[in-house]
Amino acid sequence: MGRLKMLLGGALLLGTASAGGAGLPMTAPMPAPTNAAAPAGTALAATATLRDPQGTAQGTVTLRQMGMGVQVRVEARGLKPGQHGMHVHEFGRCTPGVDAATNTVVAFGGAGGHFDPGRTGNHDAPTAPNTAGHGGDLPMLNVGADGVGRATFMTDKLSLTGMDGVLNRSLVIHAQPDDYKSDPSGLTGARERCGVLTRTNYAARDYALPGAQDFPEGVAYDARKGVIYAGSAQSGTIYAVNAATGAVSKFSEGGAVGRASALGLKVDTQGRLWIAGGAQGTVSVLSPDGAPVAVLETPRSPNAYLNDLAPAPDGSVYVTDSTRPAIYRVTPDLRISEWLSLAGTPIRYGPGLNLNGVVATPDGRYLLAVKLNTGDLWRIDLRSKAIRRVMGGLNNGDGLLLDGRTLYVSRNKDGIISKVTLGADYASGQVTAEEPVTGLRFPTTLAAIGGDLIVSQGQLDKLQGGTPETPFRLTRFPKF
Amino acid sequence: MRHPTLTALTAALLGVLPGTALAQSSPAPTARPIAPAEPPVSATVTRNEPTPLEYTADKLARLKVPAGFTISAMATGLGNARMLHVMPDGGIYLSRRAQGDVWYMKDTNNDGQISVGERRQVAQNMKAAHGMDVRDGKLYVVGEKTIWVMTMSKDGGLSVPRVFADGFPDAGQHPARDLAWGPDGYLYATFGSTNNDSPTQNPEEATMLRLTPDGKTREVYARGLRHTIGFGWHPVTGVLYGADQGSDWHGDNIPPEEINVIERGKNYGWPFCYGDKQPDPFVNVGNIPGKITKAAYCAGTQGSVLNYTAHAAAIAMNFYTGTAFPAEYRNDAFIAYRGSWNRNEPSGYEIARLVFGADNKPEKIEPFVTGFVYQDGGGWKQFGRVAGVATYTDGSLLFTDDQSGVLYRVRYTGGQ
Repeated sequence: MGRLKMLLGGALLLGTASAGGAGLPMTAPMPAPTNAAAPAGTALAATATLRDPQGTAQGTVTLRQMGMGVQVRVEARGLKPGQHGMHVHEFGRCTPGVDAATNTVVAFGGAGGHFDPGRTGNHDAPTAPNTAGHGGDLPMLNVGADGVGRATFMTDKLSLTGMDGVLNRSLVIHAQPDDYKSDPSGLTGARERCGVLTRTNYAARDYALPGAQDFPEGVAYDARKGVIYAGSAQSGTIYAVNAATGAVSKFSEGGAVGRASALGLKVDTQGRLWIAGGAQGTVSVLSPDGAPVAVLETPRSPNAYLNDLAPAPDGSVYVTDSTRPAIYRVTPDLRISEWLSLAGTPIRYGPGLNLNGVVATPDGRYLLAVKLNTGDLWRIDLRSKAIRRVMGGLNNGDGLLLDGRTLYVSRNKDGIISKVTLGADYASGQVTAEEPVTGLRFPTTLAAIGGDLIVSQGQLDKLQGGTPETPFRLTRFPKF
Repeated sequence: MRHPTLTALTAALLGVLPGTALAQSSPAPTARPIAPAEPPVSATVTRNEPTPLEYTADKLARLKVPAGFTISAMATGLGNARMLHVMPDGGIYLSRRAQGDVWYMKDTNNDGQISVGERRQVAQNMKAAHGMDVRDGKLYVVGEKTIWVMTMSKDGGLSVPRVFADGFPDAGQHPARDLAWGPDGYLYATFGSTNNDSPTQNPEEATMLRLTPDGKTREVYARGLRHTIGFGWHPVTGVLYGADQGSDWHGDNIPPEEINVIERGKNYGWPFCYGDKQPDPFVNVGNIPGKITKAAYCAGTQGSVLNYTAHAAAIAMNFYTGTAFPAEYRNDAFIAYRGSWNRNEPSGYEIARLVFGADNKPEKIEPFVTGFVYQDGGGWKQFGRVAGVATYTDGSLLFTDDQSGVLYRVRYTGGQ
């Protein structure tokens, strides 16, 4: 708390009704810009209807993106006069849920804890930067004698896009004042009002998955069947989702040897489903009815991480390994071998995940692959194996989708999809738009459904700790 | 401890929130930040192993079969006689789990007895050799962690075993594996849990696996099956049935033994749920996947179609397609219940009949051969632990006792 960086000025405006913390000004801890381009379409905005635990509408919240900050307007009714803690909570669920302290179900517990993009685990003042305290810690709401509290203020702790993005999270008003220091929520007591921050003027469709531990990393679409496939990084289970109705069925239970985890998914021209097996070092092929066809093993290693795969026009399938510096190839006779060693090439493997999403160009000339830990996009010539750096700036790049000269890149930790316009011969590229969609939770991979895209919200960060937001979902939205 | 009002509110809110239109009929269970709480619960449990007695011919009179049936011993001294596979020419393959081998037996002189000269070891050194099936002139045998395949010769002899598939889970507490070729051309095999009643680390444990015809690739066909050994496809409907053994140490009647309709991709509940998706109060909930409640977990599982007395311990299951028994037995299944050790009044120690109705749906389980266990002098005694079941070429029913190494034969003589 002593390391607060107090930045005052135009970036911050506290409404008169928000007398939180004895008039504490909000800081403007300016993070390094993560977004090179403005989001596509009109200005980003979000609204929420605040409801009481009985479900009655008791106010509204409006958020507008203004440069690097967000303007917040709150009006809440029917509250006890005085100061009320107010926070953005992690999950977009105003449902009953478990209060971990007592392990009982409480009103609006489904909203989870305070939004904490910096993973600080620290409740703090609204003046604290997100690296020191919860990003969701807002100034208290001052409620007048009429039971109405109004506030208008600017903050750059929040955004509607990127790592600090609050789309599809919730704003909660508590019963008690906020001491701006006690973990986990400043002694603010019960949750009295809750609303999910929903993007305005934007249409998208969610497909919910049935399991509490699905962690869908891969997504693929079979246009002939109208079926979306989603695979669990946690269990290897593959679901088939009817794209029209949203009905989910189990396509293949995970857990067998080589099938205990599923990362990248692709459908080939025969309607077979290909699965990158991650740390198992396997590639699996399922028949169009889900029966096992083959499990192909790369050399056994504690360091395998087969992450994504790309069927090429010649019938081969190329596979990236995010930790071993090699690209594997499966030939049409279903044999796997190392196709290209990356040792000594410009694609230098370092800590973390390296090559991840991969696509083959329709002319059969190149692979395009993104290196997650450095944000570089690479072009690899399928004939000469020559390697060329296309562009940088795609940090946390996970799944790729090539649509003509447009490359969509799923940026997992940033929670956005980047649109890249590629130059002649795929030799250069430029980010032309970045899209937060409806608020994405660690978006991993992409597939095309006609004029739409579908992204899996993998929440793989929650495999390292924390609670995932269920239901897990795939989100379908228009190309942009 | 959900409040009804809060549950109702959940539904109400889901209805009004934009962007949360769930096309699902049942929404996903909610992952929790911390494991759910459950009240403490106690059980009274009994270890009661009836005194084992060696088979002797005079004990045959103790065995009860329905009117019109006759029981006899076809062979004795077979060791750990477990599973049976009958060939069309009357040859019988017998697996012996403790000895890790396979025997071939044939009543060549048709005297109703398999004498010492009519039996021989045809495979050996196969650890925990158990379930067997035949396809295209080859015998497939599953043991602890391996499926072997051998070419059969006309005299019943077997070629040197070749490993067909390998790397299956450790056996642990439940080393009795079974396999059968399915009507779809895939090989089905079951692998029980290493333990009694907690989640296992190897996702192939407590499952039925389905293998490609080359043995090289497999999938988890169904899970949550603690120890399903006997399974098979109904001869008319083709529905796959399996008999599962429930957990020990939860009391005399919890959980019951199950008959399941085994469908692809389904979870049959073990270790958290039994019977008709009932949460088992005696299983720790702290390590339930996703920290969801046991009730939520069980709601996503598949219930049994019939239950049977707890701890009876089903081993083999065999659909009866012979014609020697009265017509009502046709397409029913016989199940060997090896018998309890964890129940005050012993259960099992019998061959039971899984009765299917006129609609070919399972109706009930009733005793068929009983009398192996009895009270004597204030204690319980038994002289048979039944295991394998098969239909003989003449339509009589064969079953084994793995304790004394007896091959029994039940014939229908009531029509004569």
